Amino acid sequence: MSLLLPLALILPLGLVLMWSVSAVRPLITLLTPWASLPALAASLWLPMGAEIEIPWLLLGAHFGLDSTGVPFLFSTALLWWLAGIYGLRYQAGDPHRDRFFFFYLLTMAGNLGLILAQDMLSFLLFFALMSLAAYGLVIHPGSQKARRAGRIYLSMVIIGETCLLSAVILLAAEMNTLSMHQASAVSSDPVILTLLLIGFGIKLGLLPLHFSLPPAYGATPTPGAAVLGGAMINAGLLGWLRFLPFGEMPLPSWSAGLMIAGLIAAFYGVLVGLTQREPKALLAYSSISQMGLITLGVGIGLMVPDQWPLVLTILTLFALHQALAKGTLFLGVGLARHSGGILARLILLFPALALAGAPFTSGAVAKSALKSLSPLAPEGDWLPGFLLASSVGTTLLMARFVYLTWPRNLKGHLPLGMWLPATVLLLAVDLVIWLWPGADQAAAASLKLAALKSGGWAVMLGIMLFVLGTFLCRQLRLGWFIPSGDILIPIEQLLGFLTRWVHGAIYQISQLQSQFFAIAQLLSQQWKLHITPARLEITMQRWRNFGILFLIIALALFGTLKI
Amino acid sequence: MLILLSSLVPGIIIFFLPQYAHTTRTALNMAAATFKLLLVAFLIWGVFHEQNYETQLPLLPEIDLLLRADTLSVLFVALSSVLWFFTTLYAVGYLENSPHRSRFFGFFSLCVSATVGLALAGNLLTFFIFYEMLTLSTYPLVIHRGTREALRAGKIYLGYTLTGGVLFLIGIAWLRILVGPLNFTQGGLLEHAPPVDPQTLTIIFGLLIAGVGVKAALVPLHGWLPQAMVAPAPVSALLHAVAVVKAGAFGIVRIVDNVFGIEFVAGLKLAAPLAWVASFTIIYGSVRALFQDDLKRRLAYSTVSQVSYIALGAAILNPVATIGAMAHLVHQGLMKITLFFCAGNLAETLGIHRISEMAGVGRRMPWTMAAFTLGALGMIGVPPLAGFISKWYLGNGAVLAGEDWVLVILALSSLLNAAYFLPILYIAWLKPQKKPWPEKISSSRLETPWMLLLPPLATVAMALAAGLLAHAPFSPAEWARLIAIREYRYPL
Repeated sequence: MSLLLPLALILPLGLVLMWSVSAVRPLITLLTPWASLPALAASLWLPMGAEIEIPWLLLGAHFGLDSTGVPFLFSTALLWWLAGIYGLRYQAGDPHRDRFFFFYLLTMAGNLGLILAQDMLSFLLFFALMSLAAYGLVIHPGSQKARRAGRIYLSMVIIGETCLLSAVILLAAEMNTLSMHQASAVSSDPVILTLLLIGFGIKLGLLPLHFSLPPAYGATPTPGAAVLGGAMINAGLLGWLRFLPFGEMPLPSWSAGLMIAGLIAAFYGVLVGLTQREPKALLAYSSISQMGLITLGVGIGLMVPDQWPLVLTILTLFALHQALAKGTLFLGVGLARHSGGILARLILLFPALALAGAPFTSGAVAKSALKSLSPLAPEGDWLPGFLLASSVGTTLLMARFVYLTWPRNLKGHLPLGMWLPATVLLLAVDLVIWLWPGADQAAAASLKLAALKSGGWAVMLGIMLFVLGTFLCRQLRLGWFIPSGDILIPIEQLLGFLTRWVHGAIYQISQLQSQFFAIAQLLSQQWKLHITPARLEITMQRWRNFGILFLIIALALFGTLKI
Repeated sequence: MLILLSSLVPGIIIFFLPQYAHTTRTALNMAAATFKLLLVAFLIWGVFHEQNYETQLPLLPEIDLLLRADTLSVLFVALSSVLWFFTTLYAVGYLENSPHRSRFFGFFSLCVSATVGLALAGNLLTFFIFYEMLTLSTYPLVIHRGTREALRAGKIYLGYTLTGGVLFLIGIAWLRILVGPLNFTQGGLLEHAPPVDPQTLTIIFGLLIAGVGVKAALVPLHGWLPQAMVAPAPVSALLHAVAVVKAGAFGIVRIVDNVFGIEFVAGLKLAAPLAWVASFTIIYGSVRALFQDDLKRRLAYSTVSQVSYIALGAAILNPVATIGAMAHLVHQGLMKITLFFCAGNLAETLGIHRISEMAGVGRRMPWTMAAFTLGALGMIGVPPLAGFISKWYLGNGAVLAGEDWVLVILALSSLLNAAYFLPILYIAWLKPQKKPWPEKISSSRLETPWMLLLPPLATVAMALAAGLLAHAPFSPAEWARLIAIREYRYPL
């Protein structure tokens, strides 16, 4: 048992190292999904508080299992495992499958490691490993589109990393420790908070920073997109949970800001998502909207420090549900594209309903858990109404998604390696939430008649709206389309302009040097500087001049003598 | 001191060896390098256990040639001898069958002995002597190719460094007249010296820093460095990683810490201008690097930027930042030498000099490019590579010293580093190959002769280890901490 924790860390990294021997690469590819099993086992059976310390690693590394990390570890490891098995089959015809799984392995190592990390430096290390390695997943198709998505993704990663590094340096200097338990208990320094919000916000799609996600999800092959949208997005949330000063002091202005960002994101994601034509990009917008709900919860948590443990449980529950459901949907996209069939329909429909919060699904539990936050929020009576509206919105978005991906062909034959993992994940989506310790209250609340009714109504309303909307668009021949990444387009144009401008400025500077010399040359030509010394010499050589000079010197000397 | 002789003697012998005595020369070189490594290992052990090593030779009346091993000098000696070992190996492979190898290796050894002497120098004058020796012995290396471009670069190099040397000498002479013998002492020699007019001291500080700043390529004085990259790859590697540029940075650390002393510098308010110059250099170098297409030239501007981290760390006047500076002295050396080795490999094996020609090179030379990738990521400061640890200490020290603006500089420089390194990686790994590669030179299975491949792999492994095992005993960062504890009496 005690070996489980080190094994969970070392196994993926060890396989990465072995990849340098080209002969064993196919074998490693086959082993890749299973490398996440130790982590999964650790999340289930290892006692809370298990830890290892490696003092010589980095500046003293510290890994362990804590109550915040366990749900994240569970959902992450499960997703990596199932999506990996699925991917083996999905990518079977891909000549570069080994390369894909190399980056898959690296990203997985980072993702699992950062959940286990208990000191800030190891967290940063694994976070960076995950973010950078995922670049390899995004650009895997090699198309122009994928490369563009990769470039945007990588730029945002680098910006995020820089923010995080600065934030952590400031935190460490202020706290004089690297351990995260004490560190998060701190600092409400606005600079640190801003840096943390940006650094992790890029990962979880906080509203104005969300634009790298949709193109990236759209480009990544489905197994990669499943882990990106299910597991990695939660890494950003975990970062917030670990570093932000929860449960210490109320931070009303920050809280209000986050709540507003969350509120806007919840609807913005739906609205822009509806115009998407690529199902994976649409799912990305759905993630942005769901993460908006979580951001809202985080904002409430910052407002009421004494209720933080409750808020944390609810947020974790919601994140768990979101991760598993979203992962299943991504896998479903692949299934529908591969051949379709009745099972594929089921795998698309069911998690879509769950995400929308239909009665008896995990979504209903998660939503009613969120609803229980309403006494905590300022003037919280708007919260149930808002959640209802968001449910309608999500349903609308999911209806559009199902419409986009719906497999027409029912006879298609799905390979075992693909439908089995997807089905297991589908079962996990519901069972896990119902069985999760700490979810019982919410589960009971979601079974009350009122909750069932409102959930049912929201879904019905959403579907009706969708049908109506589709009908209207058909009739009016309206075709809305916002390129994935929405505000990215103006940003790119602005940056392009700036680059040209800076380039021009720099060019001017580099020309400055030669101009500088040119001025000197000009001057010397004007005044014939280069012959001046010679002239001076000639002047001095004339006897008369020399005599006067001599006289002056003599007088000067004489003057000094007298004094 | 034996260490000094261990590269000086072979250097002199090599001059007299005929061109065709290839085996003897290689054997002699490698034996000397290995011998030196052993000696340095012994020295590290000794200094760790606080033994004193000192040699004193009378040079002029009242002026001694003083060599002494303290923790700081050991750090630099260790760096230069380890990298010398690999660079020698690399140079043997690189210059195979090229003319004037005796001349090259002779000066090469001289250059390293000068570096070691400079590291071990116990007073300013000894430092100056080796400093000038370094200038003169690298000149033939820079112009080794003998082309017009090389000669021109050599002229610029000499012009810059000799001017710097003159300034430095004036500073030394002035200080010597004012305060007497100039032995490096812990906490600064001015602490116990007779009081001197602060204005004079400020001028002397300016002179000395300008003198060493030429080699450290601080911004208005950096013009020679991008020119000097016409030198053969092993020379550029050594020039950028240890010998010349680092000698300047090392000089700055020495002057700030052991001549003037932290308190004195703080009292005279001399640190802030130095920090500003260093910060400006960091940003300026990065921005210039962005617009270079020549691979070595881009790396050269990157050096301009990275070496100033050391000056910045020394100027922050906080022990933690000093750890960062010392650690970066080693870390930057390891990473930059890797990058130059790789650039040399590309040039030698495939004839690639420009970044735009690098498309698809990752497939042809995966090992070289893997080393390059790690080195570049380290420069950006991605954990767990060495560059991350230096940035960590620098940033931490800056915050502790209350100089929060340094963080902005560090962050900006990280972004710029990413902006000029990542496109290289992108082109090398992901762009399809444009034209067929030239025929393979060697018949071996490897992508390039092992002598060219092993050194970058070894140095990048060390850079990785230096970051990953930063807290292990005898890692550069840990040794830097020892320096801070011993020299600045700082409890950590």
